[in-house]
Parts: sequence; C-alpha cells; structure tokens
Amino acid sequence: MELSADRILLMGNEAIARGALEGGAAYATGYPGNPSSEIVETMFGYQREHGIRVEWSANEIIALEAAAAFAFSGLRAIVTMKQNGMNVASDFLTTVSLNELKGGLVLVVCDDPGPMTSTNEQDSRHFAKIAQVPLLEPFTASEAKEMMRWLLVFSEQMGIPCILRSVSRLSHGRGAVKLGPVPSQEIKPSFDIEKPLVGLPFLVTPNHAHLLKKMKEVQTTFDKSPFNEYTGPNDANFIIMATGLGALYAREAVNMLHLEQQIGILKIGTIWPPPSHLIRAYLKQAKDVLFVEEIDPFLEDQVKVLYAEHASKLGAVSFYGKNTGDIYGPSGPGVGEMNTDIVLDALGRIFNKEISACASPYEDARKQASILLVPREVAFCDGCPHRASFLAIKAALELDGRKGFVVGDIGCYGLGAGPTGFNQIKALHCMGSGMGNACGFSQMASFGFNQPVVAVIGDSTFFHAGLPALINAAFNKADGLFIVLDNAVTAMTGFQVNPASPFTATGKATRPVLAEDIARSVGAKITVLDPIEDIQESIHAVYAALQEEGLRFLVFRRPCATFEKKTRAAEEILKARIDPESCIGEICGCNRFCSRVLACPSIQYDKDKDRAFINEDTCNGCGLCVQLCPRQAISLVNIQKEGRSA
Amino acid sequence: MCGMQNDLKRLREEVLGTDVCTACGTCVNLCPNIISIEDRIAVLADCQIASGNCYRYCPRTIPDPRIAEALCGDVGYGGPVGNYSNYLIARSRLSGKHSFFQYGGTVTALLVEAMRQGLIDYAVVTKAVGNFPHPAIVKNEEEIISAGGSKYALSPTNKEVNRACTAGSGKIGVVALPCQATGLRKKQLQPREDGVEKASVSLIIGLFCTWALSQAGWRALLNRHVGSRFVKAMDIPPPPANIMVIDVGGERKTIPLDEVGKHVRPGCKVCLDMTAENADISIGMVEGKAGWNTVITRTEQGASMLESAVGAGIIETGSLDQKAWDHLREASLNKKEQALKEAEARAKRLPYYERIIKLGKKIRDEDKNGTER
Ligand SMILES: Cc1cc2nc3c(=O)[nH]c(=O)nc-3n(C[C@H](O)[C@H](O)[C@H](O)COP(=O)(O)OP(=O)(O)OC[C@H]3O[C@@H](n4cnc5c(N)ncnc54)[C@H](O)[C@@H]3O)c2cc1C
Ligand code: SF4
Ligand code: SF4
Repeated sequence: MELSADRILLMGNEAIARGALEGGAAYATGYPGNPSSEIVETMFGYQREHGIRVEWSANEIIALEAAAAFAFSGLRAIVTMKQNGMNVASDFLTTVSLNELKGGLVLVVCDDPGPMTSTNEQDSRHFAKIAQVPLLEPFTASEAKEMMRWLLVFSEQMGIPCILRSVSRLSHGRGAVKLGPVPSQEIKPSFDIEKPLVGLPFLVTPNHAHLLKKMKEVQTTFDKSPFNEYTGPNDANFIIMATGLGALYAREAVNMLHLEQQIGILKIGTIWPPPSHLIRAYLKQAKDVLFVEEIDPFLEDQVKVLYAEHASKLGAVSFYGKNTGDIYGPSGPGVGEMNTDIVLDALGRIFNKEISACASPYEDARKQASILLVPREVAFCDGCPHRASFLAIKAALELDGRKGFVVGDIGCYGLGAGPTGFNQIKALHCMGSGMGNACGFSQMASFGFNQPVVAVIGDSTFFHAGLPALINAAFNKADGLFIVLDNAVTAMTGFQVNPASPFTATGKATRPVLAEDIARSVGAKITVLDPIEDIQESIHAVYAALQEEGLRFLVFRRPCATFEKKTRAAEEILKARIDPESCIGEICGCNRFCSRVLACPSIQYDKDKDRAFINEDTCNGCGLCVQLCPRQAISLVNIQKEGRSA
Repeated sequence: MCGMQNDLKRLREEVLGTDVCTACGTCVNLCPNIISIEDRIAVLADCQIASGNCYRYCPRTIPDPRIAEALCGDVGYGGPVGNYSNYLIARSRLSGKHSFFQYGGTVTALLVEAMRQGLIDYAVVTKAVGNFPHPAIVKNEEEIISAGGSKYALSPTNKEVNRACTAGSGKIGVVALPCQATGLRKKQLQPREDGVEKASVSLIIGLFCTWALSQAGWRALLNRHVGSRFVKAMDIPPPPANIMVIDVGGERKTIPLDEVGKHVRPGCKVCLDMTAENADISIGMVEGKAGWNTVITRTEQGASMLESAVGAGIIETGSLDQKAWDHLREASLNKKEQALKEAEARAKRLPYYERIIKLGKKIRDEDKNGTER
C-alpha cells in the first residue's frame, strides 16, 4: 500500500484511536494494560485539538461506567483494557447492555495470546455472548480503524454497547491506514430523566427480550457486512474460516503451499452475533472447513452449532479445528499464539503436503536478527526500588524464621516471584489478589496456621483493586501485613499516572491520593519509608511489622528509577562507581555479592581483572550496592559535576 | 540451590537451621550475606565459596585439627572448667564514676585498665537499649562503664567485633559469653586471609554463663511481668533461690526459674561451657560473697591484664576458698552433664552433637576418676 499524506503507517492501537476520533468519540478512558495501553495514550494527543476528554481511570469497571455516562447522555465514548480488565468491567457490561444507550459506546479489549505480559490466556470474545453485545475483530490496522469508526456509529444506532477485540500482534504491529474526516462535536449532552436506566429485577426480563430482538437485527446487518469477505475460487470445497489475524496467516499459508486454486478463505470480522446466513451459504459449498482464530475455538463452536441446526439442508462437512485437534502450536490446540507456521502445519497434514520445502522468506532474516539478541534475565531495572523492597522483605522473613511468605499481584513487582525479586512472591494471580489472599490466610489461625503472610501491591494496583481488600481486612479484623510498593507511576504499562500522581494524565494538578491516608482511616498501623535510602532500616521496618499483630500497612515509597531518569533535573546525575583498589574480587568472602546476589543489571564482574565494575551508562545511582559492599568499595559520584567521564 | 557442598550450606544445615546456633554473631558481618536482628541470624542467598570463614569461626562447628588442641569448652577438651592458670576473687576499685556493676565490676575495671594501658583501642560490650541488649563498639571509659550490668538475653556480640575488625585498625577487647569467646578464639587462631581486617581481638574477657534467654522469650517475660517499665537491673541468685530478680526502678519483681527456663534459647541447652573456657580471663559471681567476682585466669594475656589492674589499684583481689572452687567445678560439670543429656535426647545426627557427646563423656569419665587438672 502506498503511503501518502492521508495514508500513513500506524500501530494497530494508534489506528484504533484514530478510528475513535473519526467515529466522533467525545471521551476515551481505560486502565493501562499491555497490549492495550497505546490507544488511550494516542487519544491524549487528540484531546486538545478535537476537544475530546481523555483520562486514565482507577480500574476498568470505573472506566466503563464513566464512559457509559457519556453514552447515556448522547455522546460517544470508548473504553480500553486488556483481557484481564474485561473480567473487571464485565459486571457492568452485562447489565448496561440491557438498557438503551443514546450515544455510541465501544469497549476495546486487547487479548494477549501466548501471553507476553499477562497472567492468563483469555479469549475475551466470550463476553460478547455473555452480555449479548456485538463484537468485531479486525485483521489489519486499517480495518481496526474502520471497525472502530463504524462501531461507534452502529452502537449509537442500535443503542447497545459494542466490543472491538484486538490481540497483541495486531495492536502492536504497524500497517498503512487511510485517514478519514473527523466529525465535529456538536451534540450537547443531556440525560433524559423521563427515561431512567434502571436494572430492577422486574425490568430485566422485558429488557432482555428486547436486547435479543435487537441482536437479531444486528445479525442481519452482519450478514451483509463488508467486514466479512470471501476470497478464492467460487467453487472451492475446502474453506478456511478465519477471524482477525488468522485471516492473514491463512492467506499466507495458502499462498506458500500454492493451494490458491483449491482453498477459499472466508474472513469473518463480525464475530458476535455470527453472520449465520453468510456462514450457512459457505457451509453449503464446503466439504471441508478449517478454522483459524486466536486462542479459543470461538467461531468454530458457533459454526458447528449453525451446522447442526441446518444439517438437513447442508451436505456432509468435515471440520478441522482446535476442538478436533487439527490445528495446534507447540503447546497444543487452543493455547499459545496463532501464526502462519501453525496453519501451514495443519494444511500440510490435511493435504498430505511436505511443508519444509516452502520455508518462509522471512526465516533467514529472522535467524540473522536473532544473533543480535543477547540473552537477558528478566530483571528489575537498574536502581529499581523494588529490588531493595524485596531484599528487605526477604531478609525480614528469613530473620523471622517462621516460614513466612509473600503473596502479590500484577505490576513490575510481580517479578518479585523470580530471581530478581529473590523469588519472594509465592502466589500471584490477578489485580489485588495478594491482599485478598492475605485476608484469608489471616483467618486460619484457629486452624493452626501460623506462617506470617506479607501481601505486596503496587500503588496503581492498590487503587485499582486493593482498596476493597484493605477495607475487608479492617472490617473482619484480619491480622495482616500489607506492603504498598509505591513508585508513583503505573510503570509496567508505560509510566501512566495513577491516583498517587500529583498530576492527571493531561498534566492538570490534582491532589495525590496517598495509600497510607486511606489505610490510616481504617485503623491500620502505618509505616512509610524509602526502601533504598537505608536498607538496614527497611529490613528492620519489615521485621518489626512482622512481630506485631493486627492490620499493618507499610509503604515503600520511592519513584520508579526508569521514570525518574526520564524526568529528573540534570544538575545531579548520580552514578555508582567501584574503586578497583578497594574491591578485592574473589578473595573477598562476599562471593560477588553485588553482581551475583543483588544482581542489578548495571553491576558486572570482570573475570579477567577479578573485580566488580559498574556500567555507568545504565546505572541509575540508587545507592543500594553502596550500602551493601563489605569493602566499602562502591561510592556514588555526581557525574554532572565532574563532567562526563569515560 | 547449588548442589555442591559449601561452607554456608553446611552452616545452614548443621547450625543455623537447627537448634544449636547461639546467636553469638561470629558469622555476621563477615560478608553482606549473613544478617541479624536481635538474636535472629539469617542468610540472604546461597554462596559458592567452598571454605568460608562463617563456618570456620562458628563455635558450633568442628574446629580444624590444627587448632583444636588450643581450644576447650564446646569444641575441645579441657577438664571441668577448661585450662586455667589461677583462680581467685576480685572486685573493682574504680572510684569517682557513679556506675552500676553486676557484681564486683571486675569486668568493667579490667576493660578500663586495658584501655588505659593501650592494650586495646576499643571494646565491644553489650549495652541496654530500652530493656534489650545491644552489642556496641565503645571507645572510652565512660562508655565501657555505662555498659555495666548483665542482660540475660542473647545478642550477637561478635557481629560488632567483625565490624570493628574491618572498620578501623588497632586492638579490640571483648566482653564475651562463653560461646562468643569460643567464636572469637577460633577467629583469632585462623585470621582472615584476604587481609581486610586491620584490627584484631587482643583481649577476651569471658563471662560465666549457665544459659541465656532468647530475645523473644525475654520480651514475653517483660510483657507478662514488667510491661513497658524500665529494667534497672536483673540477677539470678544462686540456688536454691530458683528465681530471676528484676529491679524495675526500685520495685523488685521475681519470676520463678521454671517459667524463665521456658524461654532459654535452645542452643544454650546443648552448651558444655559454663566458665568461658576459651577466654583470656573468665569472670562470674561468688556464691555467698556479694559484691565480688570469681576470676579464672587462663592465658598470659589474661593474667598479666589482671596483674596490671591490681598494680594500678583499680582491682583488688582475694583468694577463692576451696569449697567455692569445688562447687564451681561441680556446677560446671553439671552444665556439661545437662548438655550431654539434651544432645543425646535430641538424637539428631549433627556434627556438633556428636562432638560434645564425645567430649562430655570424656569429661564425665575423668571426673569420676577424680582427675584434677
Ligand atoms: C546471659 C548471662 C548469663 C550469666 N550467667 C552466669 C552464671 O550462671 N553464673 C555466674 O557466675 N555468672 C553469670 N553471668 C555473669 C555475671 O552476670 C556477670 O556478668 C559477671 O559476673 C561479671 O560481673 P561484673 O560485676 O564484673 O560485670 P560488670 O562490670 O557489670 O560488666 C558486665 C559486662 O557484661 C556485659 N554483658 C552484659 N550483658 C551481656 C550479654 N547479654 N552478652 C554479653 N555480654 C554482656 C557488658 O558488656 C558488661 O561489660 C552471666 C552473664 C550473662 C550476661
Ligand atoms: S553459633 Fe554464632 S557463628 Fe554459629 S551460626 Fe550461630 S551466630 Fe553464626
Ligand atoms: S549457655 Fe552457652 S550458648 Fe548459651 S549464651 Fe551461654 S555460653 Fe552461649
């Protein structure tokens, strides 16, 4: 595709944001989470020029509820989240779909198949079926933009919230997108008090019936939707039914195997409700159907139901899918990310074709590029406050000696489950789960449970999902130690602001919400300190808290080192430096404590010189290693003062 | 965890992870990997060093045969009270300073004299912070005097010795419980090879010790009997009193020893050493003679220190009568007997238990045969 002034290269998420703009969204919000975060971030760029309101919400259900208020009042709004957030938002989604919206409301959910940054591998399309709302799934950045734009209008027409489903590779891949016009905002929002939107039980049944009726209309629209497209011979009796990126993989695989004359591809973009007339037409033509889709056999199941319903009018069809075990990656059907190789393998098996012969043209390039990748341990950044926090927690638990352990949840600090966090987190599930688990652990004393439990939670996660657990703990007299690892930003998803930040996402000054203020108000015993400043004091603080009873709330507060580096003033740039005279190498009894145990990526050990040294380019000057070197060989220097040294 | 055997792993398996560690602190502050709070010792990470000082110095590990000869107490054979050159009674004649001593103040006076003579540049003593013991490096007489009085809970004295050894240069005097004295002696006999210690221990003043409390146990007793009030002094009068006495600002609280005994650190119950057999000079109470100390001189260093203090007139001495000496030997043997029983009862195959059972039996047999050393 040629690029030009109105045809530009966009990341999938940027394309979705552009679609929201062209679809006339007045409000965009969400909760950051990979792979969805860039949508709202892109919208921030539009807000001034186009008068859109954009903000990060404390969690996904709040985001959806806030966006719904726009739709209740006649404006259009979008809400973004990752698949885990879908679960959080679903409570509201399944009730709001029963009401008639005045404005368009689109929920964008980005799934993370073969998760890079998630704690589950969830196919969010099921929620469309649960809530009975329309769901589209694009296959290119260009289509993502177009679907987003169209959905906002369509949602408004039908009065139903809609879902756009993306996946990591679509959200983060780039494609040419043709820009369209941006409508001007002219509607003055108002809420019609004559039409209350209440979900009282006696209204549910009629509303539900009404919704299902509307969904029939949606289906009629979807049957004719240009988002569904058939390519290939008109009489092909082997048909691949594909959704999202699956359609691209299918096309590529068919081309590579030179099966274009035998296989037709039905790309389906309108996932729920499935376009049943369209599908039935192709079921009639087909003798064999292969399904290519991300994560669950969602389309596959729907097609099979349709087939069963109409079997008498259809011929015999063989289905090849995940349920039948015909299409699978290295971890088996229905798990891991879909790709062209998996489709090739499946086709190879079905058509009895040797597939090694058609190696991808990209394979060589990939092999060459992979040489450039240095294997790296997943580790906290240089100077990360969490390294000190987990060291303090580990030290305190070891000293305490009662086989205490840490439960945690989602955030950078989730790495506390791995070597960089001294393998401290022993249970990690969803946002806020650690604090919730801790409530339960603390209620088992009467059964003889006597291990101390420490729940860690990030600042953003605390506001997202920790608050109810805190209040639950206070109310039920839980005997727990909660540690908030407050680094002042939502670091893992790209440094978004959160309620602990002094500024909103748009840079407006706001009153930061301090976790300890809330905890104090429910009667918790509070300790607040910088985890790195004096590591011995940090260890003592955790140890002391472990010896106490009741609800204990410790805040380890220090800004994210990587975020600080981006924003800090230039007059002081601290770097740690190791004096090669003072470091004595292997003969020191410390057994390379700084580079091996502390394992900050900036600290390395030079085997030839038998000395530890610090990579000043990456060091963030936190000073933790300075405190721990038994030879006092490490000191902090201000390189800004001394002039940049080699 | 690294599959290969190494000394830290051994220390964890044989001492720290078992009930024999005494929290003496000898393994702490040698490297950043072994840490302590109160009387709790913990390891942060694995270590690949095959032969480590933590293990070599720990009083609960088997000494290298080359130094075993020089050691008594828990790790070597030295008769009921170990090797000694003399025994007597003594008390401090330090005047002017208003201070508190446990009994005769001999310990304090000896340290003061050592510092005056330049034999030591600083001392490691155990101060009270609130009602809890804290080891501290002190550099002048006043600080030494202010550390007077016994605190019956354990605190890792030797971690401060280790810190002092690397932090500065010069000579250190230490007031040590028997287990601590053993750790220090092992360290002294096997100096670090990396040359990072510029200071060294040159005087070990040992305290007699039958047992000590864990800090958690002491906290429990305080909570039950004292509350948040300040403990001025505490004492364990000789049998048959069977009580612990706590002086809370004039008020005298007594706690039955049966109750106190529940909070004794488990490592103490398998300790063979009552008289600090590896110290330069050992000091305890004198039964029936309040305000005096029993003193056992053991090394050249200890004897000459005492001599010098007597010469300077800050310590006065007398002789310990035979009955009291016999009684001390009996009490010391009794502690060994108890430890032996406990080690046998625990029936764990730890090198430490095997060693003390061997030593204990030897001492028991010799005593039966009436051998006087
Ligand atoms: C835990 C413990 C148990 C003891 N058990 C006995 C016993 O069974 N029989 C007996 O005869 N004597 C025992 N003693 C010794 C006795 O209490 C006196 O410390 C000793 O007689 C010296 O008296 P002093 O007047 O010379 O001491 P002071 O001149 O008052 O000096 C006391 C010194 O003891 C040190 N000290 C205080 N508490 C501790 C501690 N917890 N760990 C290490 N050092 C400490 C101080 O640093 C100070 O320098 C014990 C002491 C302790 C600390
Ligand atoms: S007895 Fe002393 S040296 Fe041995 S492990 Fe315990 S504290 Fe460390
Ligand atoms: S009884 Fe032994 S182990 Fe316990 S404090 Fe006294 S000397 Fe140390």
